[in-house]
Amino acid sequence: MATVDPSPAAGGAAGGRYDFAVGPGTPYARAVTMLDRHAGPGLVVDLGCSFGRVAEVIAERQRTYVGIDLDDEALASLRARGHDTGRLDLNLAGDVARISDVVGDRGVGAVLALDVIEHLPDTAAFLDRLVGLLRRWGDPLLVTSIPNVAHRDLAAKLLGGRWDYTDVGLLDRTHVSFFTEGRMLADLGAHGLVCVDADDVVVFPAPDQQFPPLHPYLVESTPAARLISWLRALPDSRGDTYQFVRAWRRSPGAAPPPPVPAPTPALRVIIAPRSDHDALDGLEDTLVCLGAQDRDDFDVIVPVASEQLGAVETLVGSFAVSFAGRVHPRALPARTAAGRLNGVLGQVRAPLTAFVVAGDVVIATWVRHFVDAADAHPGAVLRARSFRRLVERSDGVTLSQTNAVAASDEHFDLWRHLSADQLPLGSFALPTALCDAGLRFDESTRAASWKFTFLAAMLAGVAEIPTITCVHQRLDGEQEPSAEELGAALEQTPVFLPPGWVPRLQGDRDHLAYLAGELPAARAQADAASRLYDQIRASPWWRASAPGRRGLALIRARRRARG
Amino acid sequence: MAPRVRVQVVLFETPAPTCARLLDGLGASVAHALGRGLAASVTVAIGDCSSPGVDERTGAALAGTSPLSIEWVPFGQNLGHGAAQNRLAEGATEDVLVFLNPDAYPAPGALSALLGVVAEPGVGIAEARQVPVEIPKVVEAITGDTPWCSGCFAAVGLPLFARVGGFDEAFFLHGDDVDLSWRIRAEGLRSVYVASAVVFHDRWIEPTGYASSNDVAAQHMYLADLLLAWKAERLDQVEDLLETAGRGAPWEQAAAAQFRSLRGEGRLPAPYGFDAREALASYRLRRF
Repeated sequence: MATVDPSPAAGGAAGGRYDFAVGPGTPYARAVTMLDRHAGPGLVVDLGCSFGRVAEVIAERQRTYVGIDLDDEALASLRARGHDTGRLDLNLAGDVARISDVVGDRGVGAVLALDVIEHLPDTAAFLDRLVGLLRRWGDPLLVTSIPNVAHRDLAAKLLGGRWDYTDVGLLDRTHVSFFTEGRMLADLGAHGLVCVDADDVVVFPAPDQQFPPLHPYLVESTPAARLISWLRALPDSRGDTYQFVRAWRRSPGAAPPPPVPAPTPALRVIIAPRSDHDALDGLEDTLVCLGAQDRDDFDVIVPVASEQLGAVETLVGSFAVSFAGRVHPRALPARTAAGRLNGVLGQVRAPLTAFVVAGDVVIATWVRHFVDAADAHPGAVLRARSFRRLVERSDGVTLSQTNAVAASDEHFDLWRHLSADQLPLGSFALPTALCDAGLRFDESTRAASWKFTFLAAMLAGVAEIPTITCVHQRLDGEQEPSAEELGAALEQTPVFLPPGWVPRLQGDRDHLAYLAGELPAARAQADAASRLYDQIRASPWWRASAPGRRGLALIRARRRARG
Repeated sequence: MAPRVRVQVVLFETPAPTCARLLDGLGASVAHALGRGLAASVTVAIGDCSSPGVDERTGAALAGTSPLSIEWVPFGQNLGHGAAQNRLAEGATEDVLVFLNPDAYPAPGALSALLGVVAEPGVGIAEARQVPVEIPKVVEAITGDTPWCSGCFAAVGLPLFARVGGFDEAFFLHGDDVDLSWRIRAEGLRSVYVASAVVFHDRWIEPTGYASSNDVAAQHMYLADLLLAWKAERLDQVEDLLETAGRGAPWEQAAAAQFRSLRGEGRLPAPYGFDAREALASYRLRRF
């Protein structure tokens, strides 16, 4: 996206505070492009138009412009430039209704609401009235421009204890309502408006909140700023977006009905494919364990490749309705296991999300342990003990070769997890809020599962469940990511460690330094001993005494044989 | 022609939710078998060895909760597993008996898979594969042949069960399935592990990787070891076990005392009358 400076001075227009020019890349220029792309013939009604410098650009397109605002000076400017205006207050229901009087019987091709909605205290009431007008006018195009309160700089400044209003910009001092992309989509969507085009404005690297100068949270190169940017980038890619410039159409039907409140399960289980190409062999083993859980306030989602959906639905449908009704196979186009998992992460309502790899098996209290541990350790990642077992598969049937090959360590250790996976998915649950905050499986690495669990553990800490609740099946020949692959997966990610790590790192470093210091002396001793040994073996005395040594060896062997 | 099937379950102070879970899983498994024509009919016989009152409450809690055809038999006393199974089978007219533990939850296709294998010529008894913890006994990888079948979820022809005399009631809680399997094998029939028949068996996992056990169960297992060695006429092993128990845990000592008491009263079961030494040796083998 283009970079744009939204300051009034850059607009080049003398006059009021909101007298912005329609320069390239500005929200106004983008709005005009959207009109060109999507609007039908008819009037362009500009709500909250201020000086409406966009009017001339619209007029050039042989369209008639009508500006609506309360600012007398701005409206006078528009009229002086030959444009139609209406002096109305968008906060007042009666005034909004009177916009139709201004329009009269002229057809409306588009409605602009550029930098308007954030100035109105009652968003829902305004949208109700706006949608009423759109319906009356035959559902013309709506174009909005709304500042992004979830801009990375605002997040960084809030962490630094600052919330700085400015005359214009992200935190214009007259803003009374603040929008993230999610809130915008939800509020407009709830009024039956569907986004049909987006051309958002990105202001970087010099947006209007980059002060005070040299603030380490704002300067891109500092560790603190990189950490903040990484965290902000987890939930969405809008951290650098200044304005959401969007085109909307009212959907033909009414606004979608409010969602029917359903009981929220305590936990959602996501069954992970074992690999990118896994046909979910062993799924029956996993499902039968989940069906046998001693509580039923959980549901299960099974992300599958499209071609697997029929078989999985048949399998699920063969279970008792009380369980099958809580298992939801989902066909996803993603080609990788990580992609399929990401495809369902956003669909979780339960406060807790647990994973189990298809084919892994769990005890009857697996869910109970997680739910109870979440109550005792709110917010933490939960890790139960598990076993790994070597298995082979034949015609989709699992055959154990061994029982437990290796039990997981009694206690989780992030330090060890750095070089070997200590959190197989079946022993792992996390607060769903972490997924809502954007934690996803990295589809570009074979170590996706490990990276996901590492970052979750790093962000939320780990609460341990001492019981062995899961048997992790390891297929004969299955290759796990190497330590090098694990390292590469995290190379570009800022990593922080929980309190208490500094003494441990110091101790490890000192120990390594001690060993390194001892090494030359030990090597010298070993070399000296080796030289002495060679000298002895080469000496005439050694050669001369050989028959005696052979005789002694024979005597000793005879003694051993006699017992 | 599809067999008429009788599934038998023995309860003892089993919580109602555990029974409900069992019937849920069994219902789906029965529907699978009936739907595929692998069973002509399925009757479920549930015998409750709980004390009077407990059995009534369990029966009342489960009444009408399952579409299965259920015969509810409260025994009013703890007969022991084998004896209770024998009572349930008395007078039965079905073709195939299926033993099922109350703390189990069969997969939908499990009963079908068991019935398919037990109907094969030469197969005497067939057992399901248990998850999440398997029994660490030896299984032949290709054929599924195994020295004995667990009674957790196993199928056997009813005429065969009657011919070999049913369960030996000298075994109270454990070992009766091993003993039954050996007597079936002595008829020249196979004992088969069916990997495609999956059953969840509700057990915890010890840090050793094996299923956890309490002292009572461990005592009965030790007693079963003594009885199996006795019936196989391996008196040397009986003496070894008794001697080991003398140095062992309290539950081992209790099992040894129980065995000595039975021996003193002349109530030990009769020896097999066939050579069970190999069976006994294979019983002691562990797959992992």
